[in-house]
Amino acid sequence: MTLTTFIALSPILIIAAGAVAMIFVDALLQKSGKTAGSLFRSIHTKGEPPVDEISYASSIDRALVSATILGAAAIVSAVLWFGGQLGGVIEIGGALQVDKLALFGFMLCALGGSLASLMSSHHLYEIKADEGQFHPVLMLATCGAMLLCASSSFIMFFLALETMSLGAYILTGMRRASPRSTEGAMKYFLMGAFASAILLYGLALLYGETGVSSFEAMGKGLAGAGAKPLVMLGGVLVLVGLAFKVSAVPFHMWTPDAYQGAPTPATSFMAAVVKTAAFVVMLRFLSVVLTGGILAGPPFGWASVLAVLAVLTMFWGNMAALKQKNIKRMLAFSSIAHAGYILIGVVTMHKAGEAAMAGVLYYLFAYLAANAGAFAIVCSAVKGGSEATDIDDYRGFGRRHPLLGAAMGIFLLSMLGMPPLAGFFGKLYIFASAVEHGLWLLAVLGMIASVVSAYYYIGVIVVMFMRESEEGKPVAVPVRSGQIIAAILVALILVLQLGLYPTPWLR
Amino acid sequence: MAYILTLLIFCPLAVGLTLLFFPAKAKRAMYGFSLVTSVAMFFLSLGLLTGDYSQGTFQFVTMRNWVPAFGITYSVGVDGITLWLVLLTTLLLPIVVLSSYSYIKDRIREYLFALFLLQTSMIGAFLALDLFLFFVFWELMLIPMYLIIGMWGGERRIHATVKFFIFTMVGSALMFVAILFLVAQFKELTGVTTFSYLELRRVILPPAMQWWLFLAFALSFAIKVPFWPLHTWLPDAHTEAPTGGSVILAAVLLKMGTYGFLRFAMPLFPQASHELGPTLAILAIIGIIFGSLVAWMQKDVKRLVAYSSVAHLGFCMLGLFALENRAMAGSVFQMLSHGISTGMLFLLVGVIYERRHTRLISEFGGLAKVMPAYAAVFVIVTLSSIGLPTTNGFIGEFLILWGTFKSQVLPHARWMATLAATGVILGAVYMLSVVLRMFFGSLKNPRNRDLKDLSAREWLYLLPGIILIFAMGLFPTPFLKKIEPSVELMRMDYLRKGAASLTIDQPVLSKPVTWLLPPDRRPLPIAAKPRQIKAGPGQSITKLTANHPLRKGGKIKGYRPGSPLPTGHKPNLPKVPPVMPGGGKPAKGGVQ
Repeated sequence: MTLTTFIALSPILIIAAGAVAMIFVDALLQKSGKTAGSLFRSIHTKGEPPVDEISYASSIDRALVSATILGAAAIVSAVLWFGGQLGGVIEIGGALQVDKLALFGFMLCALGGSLASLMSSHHLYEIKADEGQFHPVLMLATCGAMLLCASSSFIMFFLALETMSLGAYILTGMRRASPRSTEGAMKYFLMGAFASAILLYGLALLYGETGVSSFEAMGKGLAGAGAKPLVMLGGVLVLVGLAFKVSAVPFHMWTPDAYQGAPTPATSFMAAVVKTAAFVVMLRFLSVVLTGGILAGPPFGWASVLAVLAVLTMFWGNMAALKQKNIKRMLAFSSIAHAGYILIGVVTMHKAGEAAMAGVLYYLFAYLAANAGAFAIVCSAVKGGSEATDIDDYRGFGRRHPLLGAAMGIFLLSMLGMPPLAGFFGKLYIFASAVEHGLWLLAVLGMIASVVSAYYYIGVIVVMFMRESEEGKPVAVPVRSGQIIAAILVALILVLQLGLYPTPWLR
Repeated sequence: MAYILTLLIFCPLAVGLTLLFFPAKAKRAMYGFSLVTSVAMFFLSLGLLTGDYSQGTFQFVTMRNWVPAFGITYSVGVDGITLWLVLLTTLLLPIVVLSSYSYIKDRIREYLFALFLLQTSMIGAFLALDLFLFFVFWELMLIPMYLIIGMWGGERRIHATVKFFIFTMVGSALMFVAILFLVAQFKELTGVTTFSYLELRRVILPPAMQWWLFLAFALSFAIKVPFWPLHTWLPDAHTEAPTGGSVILAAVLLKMGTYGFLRFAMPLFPQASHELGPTLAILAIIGIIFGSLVAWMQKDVKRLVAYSSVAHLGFCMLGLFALENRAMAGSVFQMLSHGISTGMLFLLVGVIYERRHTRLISEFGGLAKVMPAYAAVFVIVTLSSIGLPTTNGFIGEFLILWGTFKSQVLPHARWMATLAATGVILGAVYMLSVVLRMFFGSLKNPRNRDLKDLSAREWLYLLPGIILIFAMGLFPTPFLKKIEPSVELMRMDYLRKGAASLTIDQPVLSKPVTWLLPPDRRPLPIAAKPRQIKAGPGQSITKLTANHPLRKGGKIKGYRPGSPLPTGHKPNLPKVPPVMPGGGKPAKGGVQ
């Protein structure tokens, strides 16, 4: 292992080592009543002293430690991405390939993971889900997501996908006391297992045609093979597996239940990290393996398949989100809809290549920031001792807490695509390249779908700012936590920066 | 002075952000601060008058790169059209702040912040010379207005504000794709991505393509105007909005629609707008008559004023599509005078609403006895609104009707003018009947007996409007003199480009639009190195300022729907499409 490979993989290594260390240190210290975090605790949270001081403090500390480690990994990947010291593409053992795409994926995944753990501190304590497993699992799942971003052979692809997914299943079921959580995890797991099997079947077919497992060799092999039925079938099956992970309609059934049932930080993790990694590997797979004209372009290539999926996903997601009463479920459907917009970018890739890829990544970044911010606020709001997840719980929330309300408003407007916020620029990026390459119909449909989405995003703002809470009903109150505030601030800065001054990221 | 436009755009934002640091209870301090700063900004905006508007070019132009990778620039400039609209906007802000003092009682800080944010976005949208920048401000306008209606509005405010938001959003979504399409066409021709308005105006599209893009732009602007039958959000929004919100909505936001037609939809897609113009003019006339009739039927005086806006804006649109210099200049003038008179009407409705908490006309009667000054002001504004000579309303409507009557592009122009003129009569009918029912007759309702007349503060914010009503009515020339060159410049280009687009079936590029910039601003500082194709309007455009028809009294003749080429202005076009399909290589004319 040379130094360059070491540096290239350092973000993953940092997280993996951190996760393992956390498990051990936690186990050793638990006897003496201390926690991993108390060794280097720096932030004290304000607010009422909780009943169980030690378990509360340990919950906070674990969150802080894991957020720091993930954040450090995100910064390292960002530095590598910006600096470009690695000098292009680094191949590792024929299984991993660290290039710009992978590094950007690293950064997004680590950032998403970091924000998820930052917002988890109080929440896990409140739902009594933190017994020291949450954060290591989250970190290892993030590792899986990052490996997925960099994978360049089928073996790695599948292993990384499973590492990430298993982690996500566990995180979903972490709220053991809640039947919803278990139900969500069960659905997610069963359907995920089917999807994995389908994906594996597709991979096997493609392997059978070419006899190689590395993406690049397979791409060359397939380009020569033309459009054989088995190849087409294999490609379609792999796409189905990926569509499941990005929750594209009609493979989205698990999303609402899993999102609603999971502890909110885990929801944020699924929406940000799992989706990002799945899209990154989809970009890589489509651009390297299925490059041949007939496999990619119309009428039967993946571009047409994904175009149909994109339209279905946008409209179904937005329509279904309209009638949701639970904010997490609503955000789940909105995340389905966003997968639809992103798929437009993926479709454009068969004509525009790298430009469209950049658009997809930018959109993922913008979506991640806004989404993590919104979930952080949901995380922070409690109602009479339990989580405030009904949209009606937020009546008057913006009036009572103008700053948090305004931040939530900004996140929602960014998801809606209001200028000058991040989401708008992401849409501009994707739709501009779609229109440029003659896919203006998709862009028009995308904009119409986003008008539909205006109704429910605006609906939340209406509830927060324009409706008074009903007398006697418990209202959502934010917990006072420095960490959640930090998560919200990071997300807010990103949302504004990505919208107002995107230049540094446009490379 | 070079940065005056940037200051005008961003000072309100800075003031708004400063206001957020005021303690929530400091009502007087916040209003005082807002008033002083908004008056200061108005005086700052008077500095715009020092520009040279005689050539119709953009003044105080600033161009900076914003997102170079996408060719997005921060470009702003002001011409004779936007000059007055910006001045109207800056004048209204202190008036609205003053009028809100007694109306807005809770969350004052947030209200004032929304007002100042709205101010930034409105001025920004007027001044933007970059389609991206324009779109950003255009969309940004929605948010504060949405909050103002939704948070400080009346009982059905949520219904009204959501309707307002969704309607406007539908329009702008398609406009966004149209902008992207235009940008993609420019890139196809030149290899350069840019959102700069002056660059994109060079693109001449074949008529079929223009149609679609024009429809997308027109939908967005028509909703904002609001054009019959897309007007239904307006009465709701107006009725529920607080007074200040109504004033800004009527006086400025609606002008965004007409301004959008004049600045973007018409010059960018002239042939489509020429072909659709008569249809839109007919819709405008329907709007005039429909708006007037519905206004007549209203029981709520605020709703009545809202419907009268539909009618008045119909005049503005008719003037634009008449494509006569005087009608178009009159249309811009009418935008101003509608802004003042309708803004004042909403202020006056607010005054009585604060006293009686009702706006039903039937609740009033004989108010002139208890509130003589109020009644006098109301009558003056009413006369301005119905276009009595010596008031501002007369000039605008007269120019529009006269121009429409003489219009060479509208079919049956005389009939159209005649029909539209009935709108003037109807306007007099419904406005005067309101005056009659509210102010004269006997004082029946006992609750009206001891209403207080106008206070000093109310006089203060009503006075500028009264002065302007007569100033603009008696001395319209200084206003028109600055409006006309810009309008004429746009009209000439419109005719040429429209004619040129008939001979092509592929998009082509005209010469750089340097003639919209003052001489010291050439060449464009935007890094565009396109392969210039000698086609389209040809060289005569650069000479336009020298042969300015206003100076020479020149006239374009023979421009009729059947034969859209203005004789004598036939562009020098090669017979073969000058652009090969797919590439930018000229078949004839050579690369410059």
